[in-house]
Amino acid sequence: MEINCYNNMIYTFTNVISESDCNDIIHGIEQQWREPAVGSKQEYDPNIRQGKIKFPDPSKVPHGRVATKCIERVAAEMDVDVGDPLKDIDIQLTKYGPGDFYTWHADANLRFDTKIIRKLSGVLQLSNPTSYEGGELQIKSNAVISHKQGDLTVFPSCLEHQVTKVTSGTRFSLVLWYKGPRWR
Amino acid sequence: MAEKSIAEQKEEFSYSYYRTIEQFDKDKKWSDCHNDMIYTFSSVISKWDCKDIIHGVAAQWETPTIRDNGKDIYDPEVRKCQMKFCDQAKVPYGRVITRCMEKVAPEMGIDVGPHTDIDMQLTKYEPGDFHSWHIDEEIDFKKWNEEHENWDPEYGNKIRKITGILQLSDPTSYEGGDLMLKSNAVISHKQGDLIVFPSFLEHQVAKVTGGTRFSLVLWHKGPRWK
Repeated sequence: MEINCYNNMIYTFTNVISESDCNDIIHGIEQQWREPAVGSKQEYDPNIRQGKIKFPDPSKVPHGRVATKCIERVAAEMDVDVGDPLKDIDIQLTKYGPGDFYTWHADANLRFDTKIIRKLSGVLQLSNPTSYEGGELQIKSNAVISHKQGDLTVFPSCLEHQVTKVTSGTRFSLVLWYKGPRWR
Repeated sequence: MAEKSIAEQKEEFSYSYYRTIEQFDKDKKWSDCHNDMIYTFSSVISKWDCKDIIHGVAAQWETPTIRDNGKDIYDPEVRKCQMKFCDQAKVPYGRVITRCMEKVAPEMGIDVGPHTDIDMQLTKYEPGDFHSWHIDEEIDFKKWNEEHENWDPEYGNKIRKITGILQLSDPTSYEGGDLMLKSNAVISHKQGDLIVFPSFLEHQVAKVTGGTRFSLVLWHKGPRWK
């Protein structure tokens, strides 16, 4: 595993897990797929986001502990206030089929008005990039984002990012959020 | 009843009416639009005090710069006006204005460090002048070291955390020049009102089409976002 860092805010961990580990995650989470909710009202809005998600118990995600360890490390290096790693990391499995996308958004902005907010976001690429077209994770910065299977990108949740429309194939990713007190 | 003389009115409404900061603290409350973290202090100073500030800052007018890819440049397509950086200690009524900023920081839950460090800038917008949508400090998570120009031994990074804008001109004396914030909150243009918001909130000053608008801009600095 190797770590690259852009501007102290976008961290890439390469080869966090293997190809077969990625498949373990894709197939190893039991819940039903459901529609994603967006915005402060947490409603489904197909103009903003299309795709399917599962919200598993973080302790039951295969190889989940490796990914959460990486995000903990970023929190320490960036010196950001975060909560308890065992309670305050949420995990979501996402599936983007043809036509699916998620437009520009921030997972929680700096002026979020609840006390506990998402502070760091992580995206673990679970699909081989040759198996789908489009579906590119982009973060508003000059950083180059890895699409390699098994790579994990971690960034502050207040940074705007998007997943472009998938034009063919299916892209799976594991999304992680490390929560903490709002930015001070 | 005979109308009061200017001197009498001034005595009544001027900052000098608040004999002490303690008295000012007791009397001067803000109204807020909490969801958007925008706070307004109405009539912080009188219209006469505003004139004292406009004429009482000795520095020369300068062309403003904007931050572009880590460099300070002049770009009249983005910002066109004139400004003066002021010595806080020498700005008339500077103490009351900074007091408002100090009071609101804990309310906003923003860490500005153990000591007050506020920069002040007097700005002048004449016909054709404006400052398009911007934030006062890029959101940045870089940790500076001793070599950085703004390194502070106590804070490390010292960045702009809270912005304040004190309206110095009578709104009937100019056209355009509206201060606008990315929010549904209604922003006061009343002379002597102070609007306070986090420096990461996008805002702009619309183009002035007639007259001249003066404002005093304040930045409460503090350690980087955590």
